[in-house]
Amino acid sequence: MRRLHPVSPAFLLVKLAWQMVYPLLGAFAWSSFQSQWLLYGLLGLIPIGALWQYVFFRFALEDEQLLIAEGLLFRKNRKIPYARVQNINTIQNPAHRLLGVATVQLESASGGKPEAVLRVVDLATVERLRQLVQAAHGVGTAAENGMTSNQAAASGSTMEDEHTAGRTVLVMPLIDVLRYGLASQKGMLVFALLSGFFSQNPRWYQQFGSWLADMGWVPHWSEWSRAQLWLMGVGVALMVLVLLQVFTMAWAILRLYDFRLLHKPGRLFASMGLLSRSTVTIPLARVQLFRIMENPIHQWLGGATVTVETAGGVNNEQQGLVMRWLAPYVSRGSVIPLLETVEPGADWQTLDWKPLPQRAWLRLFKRHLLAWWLSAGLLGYLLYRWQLLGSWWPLAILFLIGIPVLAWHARAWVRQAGYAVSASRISACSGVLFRQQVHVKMDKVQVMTIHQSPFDRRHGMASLRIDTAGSNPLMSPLQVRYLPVAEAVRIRDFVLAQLRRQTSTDCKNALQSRHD
Amino acid sequence: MPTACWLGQQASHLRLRRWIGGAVLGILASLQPLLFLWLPDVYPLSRLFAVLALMLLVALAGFWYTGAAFRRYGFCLDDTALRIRQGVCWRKETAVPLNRVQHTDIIQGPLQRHYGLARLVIHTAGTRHALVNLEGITRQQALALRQALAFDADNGAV
Repeated sequence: MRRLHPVSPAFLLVKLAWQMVYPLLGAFAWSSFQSQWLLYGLLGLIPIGALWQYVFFRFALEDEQLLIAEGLLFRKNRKIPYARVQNINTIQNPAHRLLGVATVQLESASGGKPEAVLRVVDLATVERLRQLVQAAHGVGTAAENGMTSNQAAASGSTMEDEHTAGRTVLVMPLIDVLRYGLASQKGMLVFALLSGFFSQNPRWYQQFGSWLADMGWVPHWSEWSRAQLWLMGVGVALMVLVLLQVFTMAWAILRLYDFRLLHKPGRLFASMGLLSRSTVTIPLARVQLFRIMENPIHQWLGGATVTVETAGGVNNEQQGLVMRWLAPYVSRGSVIPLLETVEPGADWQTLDWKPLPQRAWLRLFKRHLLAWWLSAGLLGYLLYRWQLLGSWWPLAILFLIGIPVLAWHARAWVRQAGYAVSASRISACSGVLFRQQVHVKMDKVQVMTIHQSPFDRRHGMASLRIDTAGSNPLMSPLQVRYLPVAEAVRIRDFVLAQLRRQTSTDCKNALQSRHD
Repeated sequence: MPTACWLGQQASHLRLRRWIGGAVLGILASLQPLLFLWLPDVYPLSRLFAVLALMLLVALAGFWYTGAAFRRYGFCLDDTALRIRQGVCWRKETAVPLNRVQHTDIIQGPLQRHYGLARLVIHTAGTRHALVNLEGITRQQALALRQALAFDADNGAV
């Protein structure tokens, strides 16, 4: 068994530092109060940890499987048969390219963490690994062997190279990358983190204010009038906003430059990145759900973000390389053609959206108005306590303005919401400002539930929810609310009938493939 | 195993729930007079009566609620799915398609064993409904359901 490439400790160091960023920030914020030792201790731990990981990691590329032995105190031995490897994803940033190495991530059919991560190995090893995995899944491409696309996906030949044969489905021009940056506002997350970080140490706020006062630009903050405070707040907010846009655009270009989506037999292959080129595979058979999102910025720009949820594969950035985009940004008109290319069997052209009963708007309006009044009340109370608010009339205006605005919003929401059910696919759309369409192929439907709150019962409504595999619990499932009860039951029974019909065809296919 | 639809839970399940709830409340209620005796300044007589009255209300509400939930609970196995209906105020009907069952567990605590009750846990490939629970059925029913689900679950397709 051999060790990783000799330059691995450097990359392991970076990865470890990245993983420790929150504890480090915490220690840094606290170190102003406590001693510096906590910070130094953590910082010292990182290179030691990186070296430790390098020394105690061994792997071997055997004929049938990959062997990995890690750790000294907590030993972990893994045997990964090549046939079980679904995807090989690689990352190559400029440092990788300079040194002729790459970070390899093997994904298996079960979800969560990647099956194995090799950080880093030389390119010859990567190629050998690819060959071994491909050999284990059967020789040659699916087309040559005449297998069906389902079986090809199951065998998953993983010759993952940008330049290998594959039909280009999508190429993102630079302007779309910038549009994605604008629409996603990733900078907001960083801003939230930084605010959280700075708020740990209120001295810094005061220091900042005193520093401004010392400059002579503004009087000391305790002497400001209320109007000046508001103006200052707005000014700072605007400046931060502009800074955030710049940062977001830069991030988008680094991450998504030259995003290419290729359609290879049974899977999608994407590559992206400016300095750090990543390649990711999505086996089509494992795609459970398509989600099309349009926030207000998308709507203004005339585009959408299309993502997929898959069963298996890593779930979040902490665990490994993640790609859930089918198209980070694409113009609205190209969404259906894109979906048709990727998933031809799902009746995309016959998306006849059925509307919800219009009387639902009143329910939505009442709920939102209650939430609005509660939040406005709380905000008003806090502002009053902080003496930023003199009289009661701004609050009264806030209360009253909610009524027409929320009424318009509720009516628009109910008008634009809808559902579409066909023999092969079920879809739901909702939202006014944050529009969303969710499409699930019929054979990916798992458990279905019909919910009725007491309010639903009073109005004769119910909501239907469809559960799928590998979905993100934070995002909404396929859900249709405010349906008439009879309609909810009808849709559910229709889907159950479709699933029943599929059992017999699946059985036949399964039996046939066993004979091949 | 074909069943006439919408079977309910066992009456012993209801009794067990009520007894357990009652026991917990009883223990808490018996602690109150002790608190009154030991901490008279924090715990005056008025507070004792208020707390005991509150506990009585909770007991009555619990008694009514467990009865209502028991009456509402039902399950039905037909040739397309296993359906479970539950909930008093917030009602829910779960439908598990037969060919989406990954595997099943039968769980019995010591009290359940004494009464011959069991809980059937159905594992699916879903996310929010990766586990579907069917409570308060007899062990024989659970075994029969497991048999029926396994027979149809040759795909468990994902």
